[in-house]
Amino acid sequence: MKKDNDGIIYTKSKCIGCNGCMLGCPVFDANKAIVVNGGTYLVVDSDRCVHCGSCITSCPHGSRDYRDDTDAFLAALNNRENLSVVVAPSFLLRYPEQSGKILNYLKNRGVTNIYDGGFGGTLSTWALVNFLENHPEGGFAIAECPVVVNYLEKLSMKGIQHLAPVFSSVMCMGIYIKKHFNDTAKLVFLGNCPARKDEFESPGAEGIYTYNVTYKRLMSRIDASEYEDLPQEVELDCSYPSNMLFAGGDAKNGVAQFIDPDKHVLTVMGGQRFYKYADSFCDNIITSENGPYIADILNCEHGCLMGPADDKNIMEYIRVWERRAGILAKARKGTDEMLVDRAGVSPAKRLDELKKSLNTFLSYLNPADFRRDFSDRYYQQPQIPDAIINEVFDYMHKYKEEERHVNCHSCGYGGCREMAKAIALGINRRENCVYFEKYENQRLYLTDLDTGIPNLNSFNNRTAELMRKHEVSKYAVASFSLMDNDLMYSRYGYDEVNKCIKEYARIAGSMVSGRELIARKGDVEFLTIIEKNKMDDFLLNLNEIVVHPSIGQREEEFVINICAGVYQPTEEDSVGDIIGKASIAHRAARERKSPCCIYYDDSMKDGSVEASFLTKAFSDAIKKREFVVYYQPKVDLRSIKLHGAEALVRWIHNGEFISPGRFIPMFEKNGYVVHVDFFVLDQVCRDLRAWLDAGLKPVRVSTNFSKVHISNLVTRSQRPAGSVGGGADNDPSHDGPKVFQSSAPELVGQIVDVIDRYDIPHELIEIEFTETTAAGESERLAQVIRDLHEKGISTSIDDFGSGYSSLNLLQTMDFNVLKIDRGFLTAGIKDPKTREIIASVIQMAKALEMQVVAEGVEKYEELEFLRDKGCDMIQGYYFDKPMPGEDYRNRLVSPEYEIREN
Amino acid sequence: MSVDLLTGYSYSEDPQTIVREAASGFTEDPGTILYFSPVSVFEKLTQAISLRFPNSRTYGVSTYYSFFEGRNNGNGYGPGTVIIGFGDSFDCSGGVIEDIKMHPVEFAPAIDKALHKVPEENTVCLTFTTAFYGAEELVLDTIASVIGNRDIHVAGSSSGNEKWERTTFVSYNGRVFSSASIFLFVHNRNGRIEVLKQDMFVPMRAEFRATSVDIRKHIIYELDGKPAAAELAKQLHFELYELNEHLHDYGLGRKVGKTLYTTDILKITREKGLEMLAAVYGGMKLCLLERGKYDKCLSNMVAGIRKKIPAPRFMLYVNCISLTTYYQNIGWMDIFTAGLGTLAPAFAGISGYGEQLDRVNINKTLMGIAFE
Ligand code: SF4
Ligand code: SF4
Ligand code: SF4
Repeated sequence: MKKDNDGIIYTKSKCIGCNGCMLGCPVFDANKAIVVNGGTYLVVDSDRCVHCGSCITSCPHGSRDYRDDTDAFLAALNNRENLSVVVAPSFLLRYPEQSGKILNYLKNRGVTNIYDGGFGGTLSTWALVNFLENHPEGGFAIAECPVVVNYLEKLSMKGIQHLAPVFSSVMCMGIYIKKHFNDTAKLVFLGNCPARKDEFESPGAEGIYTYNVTYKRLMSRIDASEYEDLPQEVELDCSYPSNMLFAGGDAKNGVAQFIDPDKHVLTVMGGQRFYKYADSFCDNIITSENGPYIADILNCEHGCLMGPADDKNIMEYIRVWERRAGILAKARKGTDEMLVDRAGVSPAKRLDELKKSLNTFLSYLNPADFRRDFSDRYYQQPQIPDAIINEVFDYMHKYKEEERHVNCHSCGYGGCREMAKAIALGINRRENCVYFEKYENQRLYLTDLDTGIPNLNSFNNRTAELMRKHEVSKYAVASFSLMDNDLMYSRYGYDEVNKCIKEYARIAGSMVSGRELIARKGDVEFLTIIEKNKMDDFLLNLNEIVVHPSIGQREEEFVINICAGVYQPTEEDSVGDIIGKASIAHRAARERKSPCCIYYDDSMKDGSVEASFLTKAFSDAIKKREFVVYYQPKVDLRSIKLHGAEALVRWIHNGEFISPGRFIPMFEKNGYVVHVDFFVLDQVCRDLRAWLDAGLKPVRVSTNFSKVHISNLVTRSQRPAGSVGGGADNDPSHDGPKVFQSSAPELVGQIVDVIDRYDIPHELIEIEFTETTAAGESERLAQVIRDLHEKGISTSIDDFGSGYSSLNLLQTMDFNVLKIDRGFLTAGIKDPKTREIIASVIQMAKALEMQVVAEGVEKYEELEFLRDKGCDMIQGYYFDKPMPGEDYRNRLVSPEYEIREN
Repeated sequence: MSVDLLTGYSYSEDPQTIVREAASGFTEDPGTILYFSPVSVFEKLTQAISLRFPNSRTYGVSTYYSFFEGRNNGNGYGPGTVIIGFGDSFDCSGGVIEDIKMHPVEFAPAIDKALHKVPEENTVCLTFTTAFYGAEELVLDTIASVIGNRDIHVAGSSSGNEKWERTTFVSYNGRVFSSASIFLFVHNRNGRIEVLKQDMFVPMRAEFRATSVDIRKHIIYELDGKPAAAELAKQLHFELYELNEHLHDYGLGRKVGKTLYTTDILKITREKGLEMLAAVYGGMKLCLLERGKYDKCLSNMVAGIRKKIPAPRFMLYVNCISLTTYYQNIGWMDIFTAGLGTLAPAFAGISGYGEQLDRVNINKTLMGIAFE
């Protein structure tokens, strides 16, 4: 087996894969598409190609060419090897001005003999006639054209049974020269047909010709200056005017002259007209009773006058033919017996004459010398079952019947089915189908290549489509990302993580239906548009997907957690708005650093720049202890002495004071507030320890714990097995984070740990909770309060009266202290209603055995009113504003206050 | 007296002794003889069988191992010879296909002629092809082109070699061929014929697309657009140089519905492609296969055949050489062969380099042909 592109016809590296060469190729599998550097390139399967040369002409890019032995011959000439040349008669016709000069040049360069190859025609005619005399039944094709022989050997199962077993004129000439002239030189054939080499290498032809040289190549290799001054007249061995008869390889001038004129001699010039009928020609035509007696089939339309290596210019062909006619007319006036007027002479007489004329110098010729054998090179094409063809069509992304019949021929085949067959046979690739390429371009544009699910473009298109149809408001959009990817990368490595992302995407992709869509936005980021009532469940399911990374041979299970931001689009939004808002919510969710889902609200958008700044600055702030604790005293209204204090956090960043109003809401959204609260508790305990150690008598300090601590709580039974720290609350009414990370005992344990770390008596600490904690979380809050009380830590409800569920809260949990929201005092105690409400709250707290603290007291009248109604303590500018620890320390030293009437 | 179905076996390495021993129970000459025998004795045995049964049509196949029912000696297996005589309760006709590598279709008329000598129903076409010519697919194509839509299953084996070498033979009427295929239509006059295949290899998670192949040479050059051997090594977490020694522990398969068509990976080619034992078409989706439970194949076969024909009178098995070698290695051959014997009073089996079922050439498969 030859390697691809190793034979006579080959593809140059400049091939651009346009398939033009396949259009006239008579062999289905002679061209093979391969991919080089991402581009397709058509190589020639040297075992299948019949060397017809059609692709050399049809390739519009000059990428197909042929190999001959011109360079090897010239090298042998340089090495002064013993060489003789057989010249095809058409050389004299094709190059009337140069042919003689070139032959003289070759002679001068040392070629021993130059023979007129036309005499080979006489020889092969004689041998053929001889064969036919023994096979009067006829029904043979003449084996003159090596391409036709190739075709019948390779592509027709019965082809070789119908080839007349006589060598071509060229071979007959070579055999004759070797045998009867005893020319020991290496024989060179100068002709017009690269395929002639096949005959030189066929069984029985070994050792006759060494080089097959084509005119065109030879002319291109010799500089005209080397021969133009040489004479055009040349003396050729074995040269007779009648040799011209055989120029062009036409049987009409050969064998037809010597057989019964009633017998049909079929001449086919141009293989394209024959190849597709070759099988029926062999099976039926030539074997039928009235079929041709002998057929002369030549691959090239103009016969060997203009072979596969020629430029095939029709004008040139006409000129060549004129020249031939001229030479023959001139010769007829001479003495050549084959050229005297033949009219009226019977074929039998002609044959007799031929034999006689040949016998004068060929009496010692044996027809057996010119007998040849053929090789059975026919290869049965595998039948590709329909099931395979259909699978290939799917592979080509041709799913519908009409897509399988596009039949545009751009691939070079007769239609899509042939292309599918070629792909199954491994000789072509789907990339060579324009339909696939179109589909593929579209797919590349709309698909995430790593995972195969839609990409951002696809998402944009789908969302825009829903907007056009005014249906977008029925959907919700989530932007989400996979968590723990750092952990995955470090444990499993890049390839495995990619595999897992693929697996995740495949599973996630299978969960959408109808017009819903899930798209990959980036590395571990996705966007999804889902019917809005399904979104929460959908995200919950996305949060539980198990993927299977491997470590070595071992496969593990890994539960993927996600954090998501959801936005419910309105008809007024643009696609950009929708993605932007979902992304803002997603950013907030991501900052939580725990599995969660956050719904977008406009405050997120307004604060998004600020949020990004604060979020970035946060971790440094903790490290550099930029957060500082201020204390605001609480004064007992009976003793007018310091009775407690509230610890308040302040942030001093690069010398700038950042108010809690700026960062606390933000950190409540992103969850950082949890760290801030513990930071404050820690600092309070440090300070208390220092004051205790200094022999002071510190009073109880209350410190705020945000509602986020409560939102983060989850009961143990809610945690999915194997999840990394969290489960999900599926209450869609939440607008806060919905995925939780610790339990109530754990939270209380953490608080106690901090207090105990500094060995602070528990009664010196009070934990303040705000009352806006959502209803669904009240059970968890109650549990925390109970646990804190068990540990001797008191609790207060902050900002009482600012929310909507205050009374419920009082009913379900036992705070020690109630802090009246400053909003009441801001409204002014002159308002009778406010006065009434404050009085009632104090009264109610008393009834519930709670201490009451009023915040934001600035005026004497307020103090008076509150003292009158039984309020226990006040906190506000009236006595003290929040102050740094050192200043507060002084208050501990002298805890008495004075009442001023403003 | 007429003969029905005869089987006999011999472990001998001497052709005359083989014939004497294996045909000792042959009371009359059956019309058709099919025998499986190791390569070392195949040529001489073929002559001996022709001499002993001058009036029978004889078909022979070289094998890695033969399996047979051993009557009083228990069931047998090994590189021995088994002879099956199809007597009067069968109609048989067959022939030889030469030129398998290039154009077996030339023999389509001969197949057609043989086909027309047997009734369509309750007929199976057995076919045995010399291995390593990549010819099994062409032979199956050719037989399929003749059988057309007729309800006749094609089942068979590539021939084998007891030394795991590449030389294998088939024979037809005393002529031995190293590159040919024999086909034999067997019509069961007593009832149905059922064909069943069972796989030992099961899909792993990895799937590929064969993006570059040479189906003539049975080579996969690329999987998913990447060099095939490297891609396979990557999926199996081997270095490329380690892959060779593990190749037989894996396979590639094509899933069609619930049916799996398994192909064995023979070796890594110089271009780092994978030479397969059966042709793989371009564009096919393939799954990577690993050895499943080794005993499932047999138990599923027994259960499956029982469902189709509760009490067959004769079972003919084709067991892939790679399964046989594996069973040898794990010391399971006795149980396996005993299991083969549970379905019918008589059975015979061959182990060669591939199995063929209808239009598909497969490997690593156990195939059973049950005659009611
Ligand atoms: S030379 Fe002819 S057969 Fe060969 S590839 Fe070109 S067109 Fe096809
Ligand atoms: S015609 Fe063929 S050889 Fe020429 S550039 Fe196109 S594909 Fe390449
Ligand atoms: S659409 Fe059909 S005919 Fe056109 S290039 Fe593709 S396979 Fe060929």
